[in-house]
Amino acid sequence: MDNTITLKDEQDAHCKPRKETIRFILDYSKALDYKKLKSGIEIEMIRN
Amino acid sequence: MNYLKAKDSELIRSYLSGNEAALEFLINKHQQRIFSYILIRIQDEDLANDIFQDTFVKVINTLKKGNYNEEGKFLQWSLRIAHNLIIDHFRREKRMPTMSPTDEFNIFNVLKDGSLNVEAAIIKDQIETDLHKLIEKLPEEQKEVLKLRHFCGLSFKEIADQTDVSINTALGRMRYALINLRKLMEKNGVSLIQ
Repeated sequence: MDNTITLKDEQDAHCKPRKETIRFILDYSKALDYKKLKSGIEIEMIRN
Repeated sequence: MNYLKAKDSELIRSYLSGNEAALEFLINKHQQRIFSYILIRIQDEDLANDIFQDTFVKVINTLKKGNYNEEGKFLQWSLRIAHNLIIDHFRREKRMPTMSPTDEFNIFNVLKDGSLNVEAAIIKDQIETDLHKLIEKLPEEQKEVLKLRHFCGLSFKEIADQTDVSINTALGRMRYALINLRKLMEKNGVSLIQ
């Protein structure tokens, strides 16, 4: 990896992820259900 | 809630209490900084989008599990996750360098399946015919996703756009299509092994 990258380089990049990338993340968040059972077992579920 | 004035920690609390809009605001607030951080190191927009996505999948998983404990340092924490994913990417690339076909060499010329004898070719053809018949038995929505993915080579994003559903729905339909296809294969005695 290039170590010469500066904060200014990043600020100058002026770029954003695609809308569909953001949409996927938001859909994922809505679909993800996380539950902890009384037994202590943790369950992750994705709603269809 | 006044999102513009809210601190990251307040947005996270609101998100964890069920307000999905707070997450959207949090992403919008930091997307440029995090995405630039990734893109400038990766130099590939598609990959940068993938890593940005993976970063927030990790962020969401950690938040929902209640494992986030860096009050007020959300951006630094997210950047650290992105940084680790970038390093993972470079490690993977070093371990498995990718080759692009050139005029002199194309891997598909080496892998071309020209060695099948007549019997094997007939069996292969029969398996494909059986498989197509079973695919036709799948529910319409699952069949559509499976065909678009495997026969048209579309990405899940393209499938989602084309069928007017979310990517998650397209992924879910694909998953059920494969589960159902496997059941149909077992039931009908179809095996992919020649």
